[in-house]
Amino acid sequence: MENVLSERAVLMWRMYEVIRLFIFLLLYVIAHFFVPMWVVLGLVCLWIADAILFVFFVPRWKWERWRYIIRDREIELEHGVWIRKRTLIPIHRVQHVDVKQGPLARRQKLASLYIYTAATAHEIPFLDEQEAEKLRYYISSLVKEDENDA
Amino acid sequence: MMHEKKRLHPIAIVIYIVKRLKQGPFLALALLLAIKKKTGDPFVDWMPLFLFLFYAMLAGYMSWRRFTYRLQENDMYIEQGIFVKKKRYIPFDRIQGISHSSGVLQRLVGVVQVHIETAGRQMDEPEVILSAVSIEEAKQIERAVHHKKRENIFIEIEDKTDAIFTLRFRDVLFLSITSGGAFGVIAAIGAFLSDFNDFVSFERLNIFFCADDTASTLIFLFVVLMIAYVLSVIGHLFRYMNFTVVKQDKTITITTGLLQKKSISTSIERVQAIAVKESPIRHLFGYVSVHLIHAGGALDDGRHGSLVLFPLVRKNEVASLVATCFPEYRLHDSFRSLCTRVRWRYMLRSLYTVVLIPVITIVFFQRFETLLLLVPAVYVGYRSYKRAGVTIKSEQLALRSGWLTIKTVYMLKHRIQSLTISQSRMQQRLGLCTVRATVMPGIRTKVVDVDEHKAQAIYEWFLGNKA
Repeated sequence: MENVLSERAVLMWRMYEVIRLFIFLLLYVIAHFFVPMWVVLGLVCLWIADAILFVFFVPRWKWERWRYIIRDREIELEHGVWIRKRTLIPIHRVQHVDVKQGPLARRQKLASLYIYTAATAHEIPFLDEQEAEKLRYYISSLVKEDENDA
Repeated sequence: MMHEKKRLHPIAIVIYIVKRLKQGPFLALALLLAIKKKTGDPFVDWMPLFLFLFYAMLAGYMSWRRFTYRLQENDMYIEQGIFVKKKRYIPFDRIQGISHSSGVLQRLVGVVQVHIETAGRQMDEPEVILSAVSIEEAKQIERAVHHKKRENIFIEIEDKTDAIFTLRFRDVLFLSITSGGAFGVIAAIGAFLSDFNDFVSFERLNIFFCADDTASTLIFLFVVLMIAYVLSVIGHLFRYMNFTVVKQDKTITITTGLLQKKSISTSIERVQAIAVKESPIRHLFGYVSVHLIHAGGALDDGRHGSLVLFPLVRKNEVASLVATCFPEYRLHDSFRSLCTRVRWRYMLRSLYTVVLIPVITIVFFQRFETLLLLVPAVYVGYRSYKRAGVTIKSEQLALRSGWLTIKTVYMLKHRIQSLTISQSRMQQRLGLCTVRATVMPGIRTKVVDVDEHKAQAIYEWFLGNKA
């Protein structure tokens, strides 16, 4: 099955970006006491461009690019706006699967799935709560099946 | 009997004291300086130092006194801690490896230091160190562990029956002279000196040299660099003297060192990949080094998860030597270079890495000579393009890449934890990919700018994965 993230993931990313932009704004306000006027103007322009790009467009693109496919023998992840990444994790390499939920995500009933191998950790961000839980069960049952086969 | 509580050899007290002293000189110095300014009384001045020494001795004695271990049926029980008592059970089947080493202090009384490595790396300290136990005791621990794991191999400490590989003295000498470590030390000293310059002006140093211009500072620098280099060479000589690799059944034991004798053993099953490194100078003489990437802690006090198997070996002997140790790996040299359209990308990337040096010297010192540096940079880029490559041979994936030092990593399919193929915007336009394979946490190997179709072929090769 080929799957995409929850639509609300876009909202989540936007929220994170807004928080980041707010922090940046604070830093800029502090910085403006120390730097000449033209730098301040530059920073303001940068901030506006940053806001438009990363609040309105990038989260949408991110969501569009995210795909995960879970097959009997492997998990395939595909994502990335600027750099497209495809990752292949064989099921029998999976050691454990976690579901994590931050405070913001909990309100939106979203959760992230973490897949661990002996060497790496992979994240599938912002799935629907139930979907994440379902996937966790599904992957661990696949792992068990694989172990029984071996 | 096996089940009694045991203490370490009393020499451990001295070892602990030395360890504490090594940790705390800055603290003691700071205390010393803080008080010295206020009073003129020598007794008060030296008080902190004595206090610190006393503390170190007491702490050393107490740590020895409170450290006990016990070998049991299936596990090892360790109690330690001066104020807070820590108890630890280590099941034998969790033990990843045992190695021993002996420093000067240990040799004085004929004991060894035993490192025990456990699997739980994320949870707590990866290893237990028994600082001083007798050789018989070390063997007994090893026997107990291996017996439980049904491997039944006794690794004798001084056994050179069937050595696969030994370094001769001239090899060690060559290795030391060409060591990259020497350049590392030089770089470190150089960095230190540039700071040093701010504190002590070189005019004052001229007192020693009886000269008064830049020539003397240059001579001074050169002398310091030479000393650093010689020190590094001597360090390498001591470290790699008597380097021997022994294979017994499924265990590989590496013994090395002149003063600080070290013996490391690892099971073949724990080896995740084999890496062959070619540093530029050694490559010129036709030598390479072979490293094992293996699960478990940093046995060799080098980088985590990497272990030197053959520090220096002739290029044409590598394949057969490795085959005797690891028959399932097939080392080869049949890499087809990447497609020609990535040549420029490699050369440009090499330029980026050094371009800062001429820029800085031109802007700040108006020196244009450093522009010459760009010529070798382009050549190095071209060379790294020429050498990079990806090859699949039945169950084995080999990735080769590197800038100055070319590194080839051979991985078996069932050891690869995950495979990632990524594409930046530019790479998408050119139909290129970056291939990354991970066999161990922290050790990633990648090849940049592989042809899209080839990358897809690797992806599909890995897709058909079987346990």
